[in-house]
Amino acid sequence: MATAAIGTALQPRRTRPRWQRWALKPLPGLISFAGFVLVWQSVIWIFDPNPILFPGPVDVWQAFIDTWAAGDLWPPVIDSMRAMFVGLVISLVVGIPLGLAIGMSPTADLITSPYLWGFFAMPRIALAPLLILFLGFGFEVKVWLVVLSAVIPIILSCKDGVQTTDESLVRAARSFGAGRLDMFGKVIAPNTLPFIASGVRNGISRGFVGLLVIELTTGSGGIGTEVMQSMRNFDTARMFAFTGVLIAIALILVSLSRRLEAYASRWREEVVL
Amino acid sequence: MSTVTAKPVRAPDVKTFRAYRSSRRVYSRKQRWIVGVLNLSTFFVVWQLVAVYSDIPQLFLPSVTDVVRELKEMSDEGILWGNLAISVWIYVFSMVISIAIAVPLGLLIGGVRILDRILSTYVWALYTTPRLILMPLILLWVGINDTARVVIIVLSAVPATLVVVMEGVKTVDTSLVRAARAFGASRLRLFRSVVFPSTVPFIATGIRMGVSRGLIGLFIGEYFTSADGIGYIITLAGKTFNSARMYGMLLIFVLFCVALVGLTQLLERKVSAWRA
Repeated sequence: MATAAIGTALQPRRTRPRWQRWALKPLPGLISFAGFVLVWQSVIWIFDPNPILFPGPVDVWQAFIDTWAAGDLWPPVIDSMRAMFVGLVISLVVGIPLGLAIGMSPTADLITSPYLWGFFAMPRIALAPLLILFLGFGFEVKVWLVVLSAVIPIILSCKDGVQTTDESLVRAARSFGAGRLDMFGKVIAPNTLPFIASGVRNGISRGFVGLLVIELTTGSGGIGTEVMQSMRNFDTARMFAFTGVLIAIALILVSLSRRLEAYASRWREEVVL
Repeated sequence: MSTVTAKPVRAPDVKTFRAYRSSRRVYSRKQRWIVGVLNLSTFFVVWQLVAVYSDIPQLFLPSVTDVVRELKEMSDEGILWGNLAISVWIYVFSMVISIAIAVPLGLLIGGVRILDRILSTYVWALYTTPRLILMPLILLWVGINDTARVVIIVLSAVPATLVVVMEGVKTVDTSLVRAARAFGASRLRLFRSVVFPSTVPFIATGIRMGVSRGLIGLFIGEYFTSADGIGYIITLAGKTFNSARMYGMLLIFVLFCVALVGLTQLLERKVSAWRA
């Protein structure tokens, strides 16, 4: 019995041709999504709830099409994405050099660590009321909260990346006469790249949360505001439709950043969770 | 997460090994404490000086003494401790529920292949979407009350813990499993003696992640729904332009979060000490 188990474990897995693998890849996801919609629809059939509390998939789809046809779908999406994009670019430009610098210098690390630590432990959205007080309601608040949410994970993982560079590689490079610049470009930067990518991934998901908080609470435009407004008008189907759009955007952003991370760290053995 | 491998051999003398290994400057524990204290006191002194002598209006930057006075006043009025206690109580209650749900469920999903096939898509989807999206839905279904707060904390914390535990189960060394099976271990025994012990570090990591996600949930919940708690006081202070109170409560909230996250990290390090 034991030998049989080992035998099966060692057997090579059956592989399909490349195009088939590519075509079949999204299949489990699609099946489970179809199952989800089916369960949802059967709940509607069986319990027949009030559509204001719990609309069915058909209603939601109808609301989605109506919103699209009326031209109300894309402006909020673009609005949200613009704030997200501007915020992310700022956090990358600020966060990566800062993280690298802090990682390179133990003194800088020692001095900044209590503040970084405090920011890291506290949910950055707690700063939302403060930002609203400073900046009022509008585009700037969104961008600032995205920056505050995203920049901390980026700084921290850049710092970790520099600090976990294999010491023996550094010593080897030094004994072969590498200068500071060479050391940075050829040893530290390649090692830090996966960390930067995972910082960016974390930054994107945290930044999205920051964006949503502002949009949901202040009515400063964007998808979150649409969701809140539909809810206040008891237009639940429309609210579900916009929530679906939000989830889709979040999933796309996350899977893109995951792919980026996998690409940046393809030489490493595994991706850090 | 690296694969779980036992490494019984250790460097003979950790201290000299480190000193030899590292070409970076290393600060001793004492130095770290001294620098840390100096650092934080400089921060508060600079804050006070800037607030008093610069043109920044008091609304944006109240001085440290104002903040401390406000905190003392709140403490005297009984606003501070009451709300802190409510937040802590709701948070602890929700976290206990979350852990009670997430850990067994994670072990189950990770250990039973068919459940993994069916459910892991949803778990990952729930994990990747910001749970804040669900806040309007919770308000719609649960209403604006304490239950909504508990629900959002549980929803924030459970997927984070669940994912780590679930993946942790899968990293159990297959040779150990095969060995146990060869010695005739039953399914339950296998679980108790092999799978569970090697998942414990992952459970600790999962709990740490759940704790920090739960804090986000706590703040969101109090921001949207409640009429008490730290988050509510911060929001209300912002709306009424009482900036000294807002800064004071934010400082307390930061302390609360740092303490919690620090504690869970300590737990994590303790539990996973045997991993290399």
